[in-house]
Amino acid sequence: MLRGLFRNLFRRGRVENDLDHELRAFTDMLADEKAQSGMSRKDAEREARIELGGIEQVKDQVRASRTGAWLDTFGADLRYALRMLQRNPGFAAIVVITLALGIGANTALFSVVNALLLRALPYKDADRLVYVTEFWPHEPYNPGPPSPDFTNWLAHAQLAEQMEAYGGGANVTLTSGGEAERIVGTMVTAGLLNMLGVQPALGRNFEPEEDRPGAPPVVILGYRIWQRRFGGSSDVIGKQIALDGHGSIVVGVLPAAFEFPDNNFGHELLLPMGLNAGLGWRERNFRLLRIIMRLKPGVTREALHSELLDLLRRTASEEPPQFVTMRKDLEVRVVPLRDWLTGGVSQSVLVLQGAVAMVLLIGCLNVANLQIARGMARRREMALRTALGAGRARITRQLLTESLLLSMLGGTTGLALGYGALNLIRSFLPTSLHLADTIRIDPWVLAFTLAIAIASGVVTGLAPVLATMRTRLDEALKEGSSRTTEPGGHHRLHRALVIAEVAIAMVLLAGSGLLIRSFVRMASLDPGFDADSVLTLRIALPERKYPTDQSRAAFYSQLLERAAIPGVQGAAIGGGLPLIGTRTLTGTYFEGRPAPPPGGRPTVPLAGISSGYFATLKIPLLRGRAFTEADREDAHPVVIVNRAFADQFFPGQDALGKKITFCCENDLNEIVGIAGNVRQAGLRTAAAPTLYAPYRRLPESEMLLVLRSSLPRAALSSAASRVIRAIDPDVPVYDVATMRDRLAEALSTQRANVALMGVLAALALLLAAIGIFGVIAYMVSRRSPEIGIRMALGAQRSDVLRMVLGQGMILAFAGIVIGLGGALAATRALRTLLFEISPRDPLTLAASVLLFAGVAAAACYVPARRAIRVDPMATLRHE
Amino acid sequence: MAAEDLLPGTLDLLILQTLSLGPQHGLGISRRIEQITGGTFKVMPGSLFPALHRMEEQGWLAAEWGESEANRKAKYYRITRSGSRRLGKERDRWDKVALAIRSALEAR
Repeated sequence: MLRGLFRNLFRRGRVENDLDHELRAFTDMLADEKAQSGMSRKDAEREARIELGGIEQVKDQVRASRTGAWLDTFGADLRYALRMLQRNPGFAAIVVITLALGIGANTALFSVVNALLLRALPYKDADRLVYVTEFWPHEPYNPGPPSPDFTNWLAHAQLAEQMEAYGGGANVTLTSGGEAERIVGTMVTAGLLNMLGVQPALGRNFEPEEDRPGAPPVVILGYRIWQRRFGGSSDVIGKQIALDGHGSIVVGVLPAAFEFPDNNFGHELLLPMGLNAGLGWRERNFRLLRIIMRLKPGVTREALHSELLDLLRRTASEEPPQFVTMRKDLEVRVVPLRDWLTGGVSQSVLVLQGAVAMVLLIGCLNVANLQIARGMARRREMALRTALGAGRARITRQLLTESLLLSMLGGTTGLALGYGALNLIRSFLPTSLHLADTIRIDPWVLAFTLAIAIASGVVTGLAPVLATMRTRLDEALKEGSSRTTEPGGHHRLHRALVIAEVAIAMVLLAGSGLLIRSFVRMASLDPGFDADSVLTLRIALPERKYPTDQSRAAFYSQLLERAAIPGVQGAAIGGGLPLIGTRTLTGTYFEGRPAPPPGGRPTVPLAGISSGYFATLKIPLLRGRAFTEADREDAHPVVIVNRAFADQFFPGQDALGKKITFCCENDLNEIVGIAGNVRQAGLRTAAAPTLYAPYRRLPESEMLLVLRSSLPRAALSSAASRVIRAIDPDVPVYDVATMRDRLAEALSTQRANVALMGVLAALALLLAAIGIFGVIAYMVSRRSPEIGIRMALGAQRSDVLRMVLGQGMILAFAGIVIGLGGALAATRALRTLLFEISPRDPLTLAASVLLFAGVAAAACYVPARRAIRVDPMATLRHE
Repeated sequence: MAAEDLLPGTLDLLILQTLSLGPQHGLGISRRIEQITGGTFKVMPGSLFPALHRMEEQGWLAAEWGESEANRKAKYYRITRSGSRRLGKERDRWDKVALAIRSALEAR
């Protein structure tokens, strides 16, 4: 057997030669036999050949019976396919490029889908990890469950195997190992790392006794900070480092690959939470937590949800009265950890994956159309092969081998393109996105690419097979030239494919049109301030060094004095900033109105600002005045409100001069100014009622320095840092960005969606136009004799033009109408990605239809021009 | 009756049986089968040659070039030892099948 295979594959020449001789000898002997029985030599030879039944057919049958025959045929098919491609390199190039673009885009997107939505999270038993939040049905903002709820659940919930919490508020200033640096610290309960199955690269996890209030401070370093600040040295374990001015013992270092399971929290530094288990509702200083639980095996999320909700409701009687109204309709949400991590982008990623799949489909339809046209041109070749003894199956196999060869070439090129596109896609994703670093081409992605390449090959290969199947052998052979009219079947297939293509492209065009309009709307939104030439820097005053309001206010006023360096037109301090919001929320109470019920005080964002804040950001002051240096902690208390505040709480009245209280103070503050609204909490949210107070009354430990200057950014930021260091070298400066940067960041997700969808829609439009062009050009070339005769019989050029254009536009409009229906159904998936626009926005849909119709007309016009140039005389002579 | 109508495996049996009497070339085998089956089976080249090549690959037959009676070069096939064993097996099988069919047809 093996010898046979070896011989068949590698001694092919000898084997074939041998077979040829053998069959010739057989025919000769047969002829001898017949000649002996009295036939003429010539007749005998003829009879012998007939009896043999075609030497090539017999050879083929013998070959098919050999070991490794399929490999052999495959080899032959492949060689033949390669020859066909060499003969027609333009065709091959178009097909390979079309498929490569489609497959490449799909490969790149699928590696994102794979990393974010399919691959197991890098935590132990990740499928049983859930993220637990509390929320009010009427309010999107969710503050995170307070610690008494956590301790209550911890004590009583039966369905969770383990529950751990973490939280922010642990940003610290590190002064060991270099310049003062602000570090995003995260507080965790002692068991969190164990629950995730994470072992420190060095040292150990926190012990339970280190996670109690008043325990000596310990810390686990993140890998990068360990490398950067401590040179990756292993004797850092057990050492004391200075955090916010006091010493903490390093007990461990996180592994390099560790990703904290929350996009909003870093893993630069972990601190024990030190939660007081006995802390109840009566104590005021409970924390808001983020909670991850692991379900017991076999327990559903729904079961855990109802248990947690039940426990939550039961504590209502123990809560102080001011919380009762606030908490009575509180709900619990239990989501898989993955949904929490990818919730922000999974919708866009899936929409894009759908879009690239559509582009590939359009590409395949285009290639199928090309293959059919080419299949028609090859009808005689196929008929000849059939006449020479090739079976239908054999020809199908040949055609499929050709298209699979093309799709594999396309797939390989596409893989390279996809690999290249990965970096582009990564740059579009939000920087804080969890698992973004794990986006890569892994075996699953390779398998996916292979699968779509094979599928494309089969889809594009079957079209010409179907078309040639309809060909009648005798007719194809009889055809003297290829100009005769053809059976209509493949025309129908041709047209159906183009209509499908147009319809799919129309869906993409409408979808991207909606995204573009959303983006334009968002980008042209008046943010309420002037973002040009404004630099912002965040400053954090170490708690130890600046323990009182007075000390912090003194620092900031000194900073404001010195920040007026040459070239700076305006300088201000703010506890909040447009687009990134404020750090403080406060309850308010209005003079002369009845006391609100417990928990009924409206809660609004509050920012301490310096006198130049509005001028520096060019936020218009609608009425009244800005703060002055005279508005001090000991002066007559004043506040400024924004327009939304005035409209909401003083409808139809003049807010100016009204008095309110905020936070916990009882002294009344007079409203002295009304400022314009700004998009405070990001671009997507309309301005909420906001309070501004003089910074001296609200000197927060973290504030932003705002500078308006035409100086180059780098020079300005280093000058500002120098000023701050000159006042106190221990104060870290971080989060340095221009307001333009912050605006761009706020638009980044939309921009990414628009850019990617726009590219895909343009690609789809181009491919559909090529498809229309192809089918019309083909029709014109086939029908040019007919056109010539019509013109000879008196048809005007305009008639011909109308006929050809009409043929194309009928296809285009059929596709557009179907596509419009598809778009109305499909754009619903876009709803969450849109901004202030309906997924059925008629303007967008109408514009898409017009654009498409225009492109289709252009695609028809080129072949139509060729049609009117047909010379009737030439045609007549030819016929 | 054409060879295609034979029961599966029967063509192999007939070829092996023919060659067990001595080496023969393709046309000779074809004529011989015609002769020994009293003209019932006429093996066409399209079935004969694939079968011969397949059986050669399986090692049941060996082939070499020789001179025919009419001084033509022809490829002669002869049965190998493993071919003879195969013939024995095929014969037994055939006997069993024939007996079974016969008794089935005679059963009332």
